[in-house]
Amino acid sequence: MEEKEDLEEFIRTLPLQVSNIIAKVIKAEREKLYLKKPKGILDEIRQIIEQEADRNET
Amino acid sequence: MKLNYITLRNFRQYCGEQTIQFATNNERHVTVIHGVNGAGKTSLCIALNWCLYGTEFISNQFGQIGELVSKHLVARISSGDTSVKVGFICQNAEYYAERKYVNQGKSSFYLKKVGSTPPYLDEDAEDRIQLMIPKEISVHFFFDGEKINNFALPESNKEVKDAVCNVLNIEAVQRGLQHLDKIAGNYNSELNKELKKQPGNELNILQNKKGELQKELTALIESVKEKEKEMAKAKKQIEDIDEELKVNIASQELAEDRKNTEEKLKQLKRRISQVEERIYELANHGYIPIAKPVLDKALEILIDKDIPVVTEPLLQGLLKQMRCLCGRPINPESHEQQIIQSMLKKISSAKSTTVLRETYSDLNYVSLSKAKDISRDLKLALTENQDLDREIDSHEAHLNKISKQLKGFKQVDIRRLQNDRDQCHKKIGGFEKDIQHFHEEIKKTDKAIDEVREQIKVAETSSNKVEKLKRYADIAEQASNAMKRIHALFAENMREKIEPIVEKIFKQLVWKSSSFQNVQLSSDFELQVIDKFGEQAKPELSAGERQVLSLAFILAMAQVAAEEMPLNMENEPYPILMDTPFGKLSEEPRKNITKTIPDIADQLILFVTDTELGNEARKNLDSRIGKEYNLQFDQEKSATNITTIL
Repeated sequence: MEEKEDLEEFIRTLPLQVSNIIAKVIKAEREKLYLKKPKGILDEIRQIIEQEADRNET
Repeated sequence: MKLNYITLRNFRQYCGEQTIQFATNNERHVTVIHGVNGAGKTSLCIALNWCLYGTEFISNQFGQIGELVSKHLVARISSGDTSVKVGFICQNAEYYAERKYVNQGKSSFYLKKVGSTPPYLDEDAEDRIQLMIPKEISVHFFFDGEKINNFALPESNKEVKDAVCNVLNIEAVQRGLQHLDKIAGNYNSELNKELKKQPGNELNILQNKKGELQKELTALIESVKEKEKEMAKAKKQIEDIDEELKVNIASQELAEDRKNTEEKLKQLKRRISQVEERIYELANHGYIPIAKPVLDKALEILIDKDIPVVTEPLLQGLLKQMRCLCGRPINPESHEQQIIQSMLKKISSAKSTTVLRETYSDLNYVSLSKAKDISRDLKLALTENQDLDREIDSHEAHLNKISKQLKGFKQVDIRRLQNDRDQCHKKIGGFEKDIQHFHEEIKKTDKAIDEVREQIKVAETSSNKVEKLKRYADIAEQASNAMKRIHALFAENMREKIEPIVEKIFKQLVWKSSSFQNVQLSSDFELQVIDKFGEQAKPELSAGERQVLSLAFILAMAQVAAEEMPLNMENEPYPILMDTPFGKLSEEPRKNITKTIPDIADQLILFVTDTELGNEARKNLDSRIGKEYNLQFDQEKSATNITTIL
């Protein structure tokens, strides 16, 4: 239980941009793992990073 | 998910169509399948896995499995096909999945929800199965007893860690971590490439250069203005001198003459510049009369060399239709055919001739209508230019004469005025030269500024790209580092979640429970049993105790896996299929296990040898067994028959 709190605590300390990226990346990876072939995942993650980085910039 | 039945058709040693119904009743949910070694228990296990996950998966799980198709069937060269069908209940709906062998390990697969159409096919069907019971996790539900020992061996940390990661959905995090790492690396190498292209503070240097050039330009424009002012002053001085000379009776006539001559000279110069422009324009069209004789000569040479006058498509058409130019048919290999072929060869080897012909034709058209006019106009313009030149020379000579006359006057005033006038003229000439030079410099500077502006644009684009790449690389690294920490914390979390479950099951299964204090899953994923003295007992564990530890771990994983199932499958019951799980166990632990496992599993399918279930163990299971079968191997037919006991 203590560790779980640590994990949640750690996620809370992350910048919003980073936690958004992580959430989206895990979602994309899970979708690829369970439903699709892993093809194109690198492009998808690149897009996630660039969208988040550009959104913050504007 | 609960398994309803499995139907095998000509699968390995199962000849024809044979079905096993599994016990699904909540009270009697245990199915026992007996079979001596080699009777076909593992083949049944393979059949289930092959049906749900395909050939590649069973090759990874079971190693070399040989032919899937019944040898008996092959021997009889029968037309019957090979397939396995598995019926199951998932989320209160009834399904069946069927895999048919096609050839060389290939198969077709479909999944059907009973009462609903159409079925899911192949990849779509495999995706659905993956959602219901992912293949990475299935090994904890359908497991091979002979491999049970793996998890409790001293060097088995990796297997345990992999199992925890697979069951707990950590794979997505792991893959995300790898991919983020890779992408961060890619951004950094792209950034380095871009930085190499754009060394140091190129943009600043260019901006400074542009600033310097603009300053130079402003200075040049100022200089022009300055010179123009001085020139205007000198011109005004000349006007004043001319006025004074006109007022003086002695110089009046000459001054008047000079004024008129200068006016005339101005007109002549204006005209000569128009004529020069005309000559330039005509000279631009001058190639026509010049090129015509050249082309005439070239064509004459080509005609001498016997270049055919017919076109390539015409000759090819003739060959295709096997006709002569005159229209009559020609025979293959005939003289006429050879002539056409030779003409075609000449044309093909002289494509430039065609281009020359076309160019000549175009030029001829232009030159016929215009060449004569151009030549005449040019001659006229050149004559006029010469006349004007002469006239200008004569007027300038006349002006010089006037100046000399004025300088030779006895009156000092007139001489002085003329000398001053000459000085002004000289100055104006100098100013004109300077202004022309400045204009040329302005033109050059303007061009240089345009070039620098272009370079700045390129450098700015590159600089923006660098900034972006820096930003992306930075955030990708941050995400990757955070993911590393999350992965570690998550795995640790799950390790702590699994540990008490393994301990609880181990204590239920083991017969000397008082000898052991607890079971630990260390931070580096080693299964450790702590004895009653607080020491690690694992090295001293017997083979049977190690098997129990492994079994406890697998059962714990199955329990956690059921809770961690993806996409709304969390509370679904799951079957546990154990292929010869009691191999290394003596009677005592078997009694414990058979007493405990039916309570842990929602559905239990046991594949046992004839010696695995002793009296006591059997008694423990009796009240829970809903279905029971015997696998009988017919040596004569090399085939297994399934017979129902219960």
